[in-house]
Formats: sequence, C-alpha cells, structure tokens
Amino acid sequence: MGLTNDQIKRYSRHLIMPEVGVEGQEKLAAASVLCIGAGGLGSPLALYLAAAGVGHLGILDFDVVDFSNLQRQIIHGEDTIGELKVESAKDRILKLNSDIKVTTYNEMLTSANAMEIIKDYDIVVDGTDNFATRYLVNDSCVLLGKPNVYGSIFRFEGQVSVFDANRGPCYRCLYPEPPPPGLVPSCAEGGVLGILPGVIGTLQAAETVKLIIGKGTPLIGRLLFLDVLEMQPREMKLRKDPDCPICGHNATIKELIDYEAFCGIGRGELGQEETTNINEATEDVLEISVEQLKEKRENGNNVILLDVREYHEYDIASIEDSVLIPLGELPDRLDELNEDDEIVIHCHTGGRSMRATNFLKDQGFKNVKNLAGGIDAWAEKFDPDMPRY
Amino acid sequence: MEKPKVLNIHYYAMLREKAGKREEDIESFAATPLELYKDLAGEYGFPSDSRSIRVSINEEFQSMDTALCSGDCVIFIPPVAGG
Repeated sequence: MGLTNDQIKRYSRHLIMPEVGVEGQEKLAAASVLCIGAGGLGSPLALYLAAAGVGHLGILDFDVVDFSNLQRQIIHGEDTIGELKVESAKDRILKLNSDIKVTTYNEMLTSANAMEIIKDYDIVVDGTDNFATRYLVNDSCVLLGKPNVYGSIFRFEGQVSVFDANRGPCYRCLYPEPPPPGLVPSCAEGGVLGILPGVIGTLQAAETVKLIIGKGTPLIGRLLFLDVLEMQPREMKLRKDPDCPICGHNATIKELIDYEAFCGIGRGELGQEETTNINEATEDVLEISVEQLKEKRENGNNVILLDVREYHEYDIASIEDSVLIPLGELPDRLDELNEDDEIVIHCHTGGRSMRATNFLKDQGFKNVKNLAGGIDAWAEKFDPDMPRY
Repeated sequence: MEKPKVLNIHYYAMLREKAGKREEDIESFAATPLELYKDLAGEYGFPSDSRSIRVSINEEFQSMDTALCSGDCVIFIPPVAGG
C-alpha cells in the first residue's frame, strides 16, 4: 500500500519506533474500529484513534450534544450543542485527520442491527453507558469473533479490559449476571469526574492500537482498575468461565437476545406500571406531570413532595416544601412517612423516583405518584431561575 | 477453637459509598467470600442480592464459594456501566 510523504511526516513519531514502524502504521491505516458511544469514553478514544491514523472509524450514538456533556465529552464543543453527537464527532475527527474515513450511525445499537453493523469492523470499542448495551456488544462480538475493548466508569473509578473470546474471557465471564435495575447509578445519577473517561477512554485507545499493530501484551484475561481519587491502579486476573453461556464449552446463547428484558428494564419500573394500568382503574397511574403537581399544590391539596435525590443534589436546587430522603435511605426511614398521605416523589429526571414509587407501593403506601421529568422538568416549566444540572 | 481469619477488604463503587471507607482489616470467621459479603451486607447495608457482585482474592477473580485464608486481600466489585 505504501505511505504518502504527508503520512510519513504526520506519523513520523510512530514510524521511528520499531514497535510501530511503517508496517505498524500501514496496519493502522488498513484497520477499522467501531466506537460504540460518542460520549465520555468515546470522545478521547475516537480522537486518539483518528490521530493515530486508524483508517476507518465507525461512530455510533443516537444522542444529541447537551451543555452538560461538555464537562467530559471533549470531542464536542459549545458550537455543536444540539447537534447529533455522531455528526459533531465526525466534524471534529476530520479536523484532526482528514485522511481517514468516518462512518456514522445515528441510531441505538439493538439486537436487530448489531450484527449487521459490527460485522464490517475489525475491533469494537465499548463506550456505552448502560448494562443492556454492554451485554449486547459483548454477545455480538463473541458471536462474530471480534475483540471488544471494554471500559467502564463510576465517579472516580474506572475499569478497562480486552474481551476476546478467541483468546480469553468475555464480559459475561466477568459479570454473568446484570445487577438488579436501580442498584447501580448511571453517570447522570451518580456523577463522574470529567477527567476519568478521558483516562479510561485513552487506555482503551492504547489497547486498540496494540491489538492492531500486534505488539505488547493486551489486557486479555486481565482487568485494570484505576481509582483516580487515590491514584491507585490495580490489576486482577480474570479467567475464562468454562460455563459461560456464550463463550463457554456448552454455550447456550447462539444468537442475540432481548437485552432490556435480560437486564430487567421494563420488569421493575415500566412493567409494574403496565400491570397497574391493566388491573386497576386509570386514576391509579403511577405518574403525574409537573403541571398536575403545581395545580394540586395551588388548590391547597395536602400533597407531600418527597425528594429522593442525594444531599449534595438538594444543595444545588430543591423545590419548596419538599422532604428529602435519599433513595438509599428510604427503606430505613419509612416511619417518617404516612401510608395514607398523598405522596408525590421526585428526583432529578424521574428514574430514581420511579423506583421509589414502586418501592413505596410495595410497602403498602396507597397514594404515591412519580413526578414525571423530576425537578428538571419543574425548573424548565415553572422556575427559570432554578439551576439545572 | 477456630481462630478468626485476618482479612484485608477493599470496597469498590457503590459498596465504597455504603461502607464509607475504601478498605479495612477485619477479623472474620467467614469461610467464603459469600459468607463474608453477607456479614458485611448486614453491617453496611449492602444490597442483599449478591449475584451481580464479583470478588477478587489476591488480585484474581474468584467464585464467591472459594475458601478464604487468613491474610487474603479480598475486593468486592459491583458492576458499573458508566461511559
């Protein structure tokens, strides 16, 4: 194939190292990598892979750029707020390196499209933000025999590994069971140090480049943990699970499954709502809108407004006369609530409060409702001065 | 009489938040990580469903039924999915 003079100049710092050299750079140019997610992990990952000269990058994301993304998603900018993330990312990548090909997928990865999209790439890098998609990425990669460069973050802690079922364990060998819905907060709920995905995504990029050039020791069968608060890395050995349902000896999963059902989405929250709708009168729906809440409060209804966010979130913004009991403390503080009161529960955007609503229903509370959209919707509709986060 | 094992325990992610500490040395009669987890769950309010929690003993992922030995470094790792 041969490198052009421009390429030789651009990649000279690679070319003068024997581990990369012209041969390695040509491998990079011939390689194709699919980045799933153009968010916190995907930002540094896609930028560094582009800078390194990976010839074909696929970028998959269905979201648009939001102001609150910029704290960590450095591939986007103030000038691309509101744009599709894949388009924003593509623009930035091509500004950095117009010599490579970028394919965008403005869609959600699903069991219906995953195999078709992934099959065209050499390597997949998982920068998603939810369990269902992580199992979907894993299973697709195992079925197609593709390496899956994994990274995951929580607050100040990150994990990196390379799952390649041909050579070692897969994601299911590490986590055979998804956590019950609601156990693990997302970045939006739990927060994340903006720099952390920068570190972890960059480590994923390094692993990807190593796989392409075939040098060094990939993180196969090893999981790297990094706690940036203590700046303490730790490596743990991970063996292939002989009973793994997708990469083990007697694999039972031969094709993609319904990952949302597998991860319990729709079983806990929406599922219960559906059952309620079918079995009970329609006035017993579990959600009310911010408009309905405002009307109730203005009409003097004695509604208890229960805020299930964390204390530090309450300090940022709160709705007047709300009672704060963080979701995690709710089971131990039930005696502070009265089963017969009309209770409206809110959180930031409605996820945690729905879990709290279902929980209180199960505990025998008769009149509890989830505030759809949470305090964020309240601020948007009724309180323009309230800080939104 | 059986002597308690001295264990160095580390907590990751949500378990760290619940325990309010990153690590501690404890004495325990727990025979396996699962028994140990149950004891700690009672103390710190960890989720009682431990099926999604993984354990590493001396820098290697192990099953929750592995026999614990005095001096082991035990790390409980819940899955995280942020990206």
